[in-house]
Amino acid sequence: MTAQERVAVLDGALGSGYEDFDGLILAERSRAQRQSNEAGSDPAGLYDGQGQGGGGTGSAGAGAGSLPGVTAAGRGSIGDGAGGGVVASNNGTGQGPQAGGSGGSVGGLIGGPAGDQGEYPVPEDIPPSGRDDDVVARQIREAAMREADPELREALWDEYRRYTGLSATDQ
Amino acid sequence: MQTLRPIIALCALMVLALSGCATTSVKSTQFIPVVQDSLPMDEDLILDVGVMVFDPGIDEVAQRDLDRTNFEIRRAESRYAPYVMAETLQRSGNWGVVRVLPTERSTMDVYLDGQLLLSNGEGMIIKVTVTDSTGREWYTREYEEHISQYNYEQTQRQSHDPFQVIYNTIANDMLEFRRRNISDNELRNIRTVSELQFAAGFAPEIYGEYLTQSDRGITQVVRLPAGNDPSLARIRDIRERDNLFVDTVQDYYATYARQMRGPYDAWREVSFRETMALEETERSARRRFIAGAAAIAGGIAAVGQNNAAAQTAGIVGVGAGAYLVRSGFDRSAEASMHIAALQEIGESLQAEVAPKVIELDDRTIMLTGTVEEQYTQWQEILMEIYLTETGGL
Repeated sequence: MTAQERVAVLDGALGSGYEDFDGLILAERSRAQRQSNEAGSDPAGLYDGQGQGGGGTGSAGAGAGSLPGVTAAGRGSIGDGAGGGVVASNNGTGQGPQAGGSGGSVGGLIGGPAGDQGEYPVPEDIPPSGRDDDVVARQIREAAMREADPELREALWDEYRRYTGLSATDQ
Repeated sequence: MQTLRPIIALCALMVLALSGCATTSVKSTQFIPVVQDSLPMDEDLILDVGVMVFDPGIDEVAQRDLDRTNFEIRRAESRYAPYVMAETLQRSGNWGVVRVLPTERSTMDVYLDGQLLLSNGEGMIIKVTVTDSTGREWYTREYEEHISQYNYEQTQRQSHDPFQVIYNTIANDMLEFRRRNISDNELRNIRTVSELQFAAGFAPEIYGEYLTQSDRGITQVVRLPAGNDPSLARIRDIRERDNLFVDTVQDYYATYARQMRGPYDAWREVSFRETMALEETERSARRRFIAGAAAIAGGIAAVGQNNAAAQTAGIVGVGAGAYLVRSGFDRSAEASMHIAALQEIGESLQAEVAPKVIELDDRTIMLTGTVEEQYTQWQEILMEIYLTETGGL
């Protein structure tokens, strides 16, 4: 093999590495985007203009531990979907978002979409278990399984196929 | 008349102690907007900025503030504040890309390091150091802002952070420094150094000797790669991917900041009120202790005199002093309640944000580790290509 040919092979290896990397980044950004969508633009409901704002109890005495938009310790959790999306400033009671006490549930806000996780089926040509996946493949697989956008989902599965070598054998 | 002096002095002291609740806090009453300069057309003159994750300043917390500082919230803020800072700088349009950098691996043209020295909803102090890629320190400054309840009004909060002025001021100072002190040639040099730093970090065997450090720790370019250097072209491809990685981390920070903003602002507003009340109560307690002690001392001195009127005044003074000292203790107890309230609301926010900080850090560390693994492979391939091309193999 000449030096030129060797460089070409190594450049090919670099290019292949770039593809893997781009796939990883794509999967990661998709995951981040999904997380961002789940969080919404105003998770605590404090900036939607419906609250009175500036109200408040003036002094946090007994029971002041509840902050609007803050899930009280031990009650509910992120993604549990139990909060029903009710937040302090949206409950229609006229209580200002800073009044303290009524609180809100971040868990409720992002709980809904969390239920969608993993509901998209794995394409037939891809092993259902993914037991042999390494970290990168697992990330791409998880991102694809959770991706709501069909086009992006298919792109992620393509990336998965390419990364795991399925495209070479099965396609 | 002389015998009445102690009485008059005592009355004056008591009046002073029992009246006056004026606050001495300095409020920011003027909104300072971020200044927008016109960007140069030449891309080589536009600097990219990396905002490092802030130092939470936990080691700097004074002994007296330990009971009113929640370290977990500080940690959360040390990741939130740089994001707001980066957003402010990016929005100013005075810089290239502005990114929060969780590690020092990625190279930028300018770095902003911050340390949080105070953040309690009422006041914020950030110590900022700005350096460029050559290692030249632009400046280190402390920024302090104290705000009023107005900053927490809905209309204000919707448009910007309650402490936006501190971020705008930092951004304006950076711009001002660049305009006044960095020439176009220096801007180009900073850009070249950062590119060669990335190259040297990635392929030290190839580019390690392109840069050198002066005695003062300033990085200087020794020589430049050829315009058609194939290794540099490959490293540029890799750097583009490193930028993608940094952008991805940025997405994490954006979501984190969005999740934190509501509860954090709510905490800051309650903390604002409690801090104001606490400071006033502590001031009042202090005044009462001082005035009470003075009244008792004056009273004892007066009792020791031969004059009956002075003795009577002394007895009254001692009584009044004792009353003031006791009310000082009452105020101290009240202050303890405010501290307890601050701790309670702090724990509430901590329960909310601490898991998000862990998630953010975990995600960042995991992605960084995966990327580093990939970079190691590329480094090996690059070296092999280089040796093949130069006849080293």
